[in-house]
Amino acid sequence: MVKSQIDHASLAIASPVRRSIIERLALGPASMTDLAHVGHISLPAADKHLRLLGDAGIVHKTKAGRVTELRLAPAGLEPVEQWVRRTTLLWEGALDRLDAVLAAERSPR
Amino acid sequence: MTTVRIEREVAGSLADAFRAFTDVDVLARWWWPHLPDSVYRLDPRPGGSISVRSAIADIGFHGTFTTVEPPTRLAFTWIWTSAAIEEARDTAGGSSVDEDAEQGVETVDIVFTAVTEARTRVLVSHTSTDQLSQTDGVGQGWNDVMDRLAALDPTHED
Repeated sequence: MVKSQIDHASLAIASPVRRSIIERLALGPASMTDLAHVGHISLPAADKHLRLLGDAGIVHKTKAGRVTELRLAPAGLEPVEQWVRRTTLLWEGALDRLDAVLAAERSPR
Repeated sequence: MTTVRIEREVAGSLADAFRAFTDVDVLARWWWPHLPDSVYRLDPRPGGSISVRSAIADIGFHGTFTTVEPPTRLAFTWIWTSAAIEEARDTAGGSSVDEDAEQGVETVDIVFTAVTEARTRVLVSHTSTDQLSQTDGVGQGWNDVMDRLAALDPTHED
């Protein structure tokens, strides 16, 4: 996995406003107005956040007539999720083994 | 930047738990025992290096200790090493001046707390840090994103 992709995606979700936008979009497509409302922000501010999420490949923009519809592109979050999953598994496994080794060392046998 | 935090209570005193991370013979018994060809190198002092590598599995990491405070705290940098990853990067045209900066340096911070004389809580915080070369196109694109993010600082939001 290309590292910059991970950084890009993790940066995109580093803001509480953007996380609330992603959570809303996880429920289904929404308009810019919906998302501004969800994030308690102005339309221009929502547009800025959505552009950043678009650059990270997390949110896709489509035009349906006069209405701009935003939807989640779940693949955009994958690098972060993969890193989190891999790192969590690594340490959980390691610490389980650490506990077992230390417990064996201390057993009175 | 993303941080994974794992907390585990393990058997053993504070000193036992700390030694398990800083004594290469103990580390080898629990870190990757399932990869028996793993080579462990440890120099647990600030500026000293740490590395584990399994050639068979083509996986490993290397880093530098930034904090060594027996028996309560350890911190080190973490760079994954894999011949496959390096090859992929080379074919992608990544001629690097500063390899660490290109690879992305992660950090690991470990805090040991005594629960009882025979039990210790180990809290691991593993962070993926943003490190990219300033000289290539990717780095430049990244700087642009950083600038745009700075403009979106929540404290300045309308």
